[in-house]
Amino acid sequence: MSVVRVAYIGCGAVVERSHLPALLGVENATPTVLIDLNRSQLELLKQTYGVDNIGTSIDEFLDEFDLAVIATPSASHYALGKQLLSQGKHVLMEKPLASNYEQAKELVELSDRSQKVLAVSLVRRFLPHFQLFKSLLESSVIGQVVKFEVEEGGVFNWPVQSASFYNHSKSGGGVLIDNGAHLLDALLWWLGDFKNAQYLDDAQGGVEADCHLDLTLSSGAQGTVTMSRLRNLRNEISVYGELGSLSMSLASGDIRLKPHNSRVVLGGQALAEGVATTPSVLSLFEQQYRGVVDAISNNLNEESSIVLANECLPSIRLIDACYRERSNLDSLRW
Amino acid sequence: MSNKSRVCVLGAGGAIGSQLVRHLLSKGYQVTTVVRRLSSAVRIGRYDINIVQADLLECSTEKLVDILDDHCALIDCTYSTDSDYDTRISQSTHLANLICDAAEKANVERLIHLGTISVYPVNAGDVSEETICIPRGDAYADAKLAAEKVMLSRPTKIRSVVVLQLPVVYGPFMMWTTAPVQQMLGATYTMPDDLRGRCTPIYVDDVATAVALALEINKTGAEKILLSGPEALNWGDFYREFSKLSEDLKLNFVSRDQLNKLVEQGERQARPLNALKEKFSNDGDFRQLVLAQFGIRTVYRWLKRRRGQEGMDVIKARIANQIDTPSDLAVRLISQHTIHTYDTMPAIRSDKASRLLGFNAEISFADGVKQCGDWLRWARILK
Repeated sequence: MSVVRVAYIGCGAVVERSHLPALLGVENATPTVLIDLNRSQLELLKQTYGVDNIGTSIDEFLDEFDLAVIATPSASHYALGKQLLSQGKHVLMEKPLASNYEQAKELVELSDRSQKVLAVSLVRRFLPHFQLFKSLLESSVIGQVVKFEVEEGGVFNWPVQSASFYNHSKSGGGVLIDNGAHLLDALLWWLGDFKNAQYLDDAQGGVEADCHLDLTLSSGAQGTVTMSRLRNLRNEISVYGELGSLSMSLASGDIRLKPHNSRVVLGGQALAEGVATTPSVLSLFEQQYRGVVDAISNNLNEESSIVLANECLPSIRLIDACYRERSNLDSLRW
Repeated sequence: MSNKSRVCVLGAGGAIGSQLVRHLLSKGYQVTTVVRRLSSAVRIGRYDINIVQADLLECSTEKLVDILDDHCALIDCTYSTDSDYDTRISQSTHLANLICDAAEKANVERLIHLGTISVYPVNAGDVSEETICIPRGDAYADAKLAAEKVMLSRPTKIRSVVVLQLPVVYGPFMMWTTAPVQQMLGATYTMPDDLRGRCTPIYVDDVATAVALALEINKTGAEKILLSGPEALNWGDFYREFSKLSEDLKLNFVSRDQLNKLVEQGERQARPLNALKEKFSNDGDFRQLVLAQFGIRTVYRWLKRRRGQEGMDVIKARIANQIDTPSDLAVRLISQHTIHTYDTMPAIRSDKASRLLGFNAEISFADGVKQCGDWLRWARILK
């Protein structure tokens, strides 16, 4: 198979820390184009990865790549995705797929029509504990799910490189769209689509740092989701079913199963078959690139690690609904 | 919009800066903020404001003039944190000169610099703005003094320069709230029963009120103004009030003789941890030893997204910190450095803030600590 040539549009922290180092481990893909507005960042990455084609616009390099990785502020995802799919390129979009549901749906339709791969970088789905959690829920080990609680938050320390991160019209939002793209995607992947949501956050013209959702799922299960960039939360999901409860630490991956009427809990770490350790973030990205290459060469199989764009539409619809119907949180006093 | 309402806050990502931005917005000001790291802007990023990333230590006067263009006032909440004494003093002086230069060139009318009571001599007893300050060998205090000196003594075109000297400031996100609580959490914080210094804690919202009043000061020229909270306490009272927030906060007062005995006992108990530190420094089975001693959850919490050498440095720093303050012991002893600080902190005798600004702190310590309790529970620091 020929080598997939990869263009990076937006070369901020996630590309520098995760995408480019991971691509080094993939034999049949290579970086060929780097696009960013920050020249010094481009020069640094050019030297590190030996990529000659660098610039501030992708238009002059259209013959130099097969797959575009879009990692710009999320407000530009839709326009760039639309342009590149129309130009016959495959696209791996950093999360979120788009700023709203309509745009996301349009991109999915466009990828269907153009027969090009449109994947979303939702690498958490490849974590062994995320996969085992799904398998356990599907096995009905805790019976019909009745209730759930999810909390994820920590004092923010991501090396943000542009102030547009705090501009709602450019970033698409704050902690809800940033963390929620992962967390809500996983939640709906585990528990099924949602029916309705009540949403509160602390944004006052900027982007929210703390938010809370009361959620009812199509299955009838009800629960809460809390996310924060300001405080250290439990970083845990607990799901309560008719037969017992299942909880998981989002950080360590510890899973606990507690049957009703039992005073004993089954707990432990999820590991991929034949592997003794939890995969690193880089190995998840590497896995993802292999999955995208599989998809491009029509070799997708059940083992391929890829999240195709249509799979994340429910979480985009949820995030969209939240921003449309938001209320103020009372934590605004600080 | 008239520039009369445009204010620039330098160091707006800090705990005081963030609260100040919130207060100024509520007063109708249009606020531009400058932060060194964009990751620190999460709180202020909730508002519709202009956020500029700039490391002022590497910033030209021209760039800062551009940022300040068409602003009526500049509020400086910055300070150097360099670990080297001389570097810190020179950075602090450089920053103050840069800020004054840029403010003059940008025709800023008002400059407010947040100073500290720490510039006053140790064991000074009661201090006022007339008390003479000289360097005392402490990097934080002397660097702040160097900055104040520049701000107050430079001939300037700026209509009014106000240095607000702050005592202990407490409130949400403030070190003077999280530190005492964390000291009393998980072990009994043990301190002498006869600490001699005074404490005039001011709630962060009162600081924001004072800054807003300083923006409207009629007097021209340079002034330094001491702020204080509504009460002068001793340090035992300061800790006692926080300890009321939760049964999980444990506090004990002992005589200095008893404390010395506990220190000796603590050193004996810390020896195994020190031996572990030796082993860590030889690397070898570093990872296994760290995991065995502290557990994967704790290590993960330390590391978050930091990897490689940065991650290793974090682990080593955390271990060193745990060993220096043996937090796994049931008793957590106050450090000698802290005793010295609390023994020598002066009391404030000044009504200048009231006379010049019309400022009198309104939030009583008991009420302020109650509000901190709400925040501490929200932040999950307390149950």
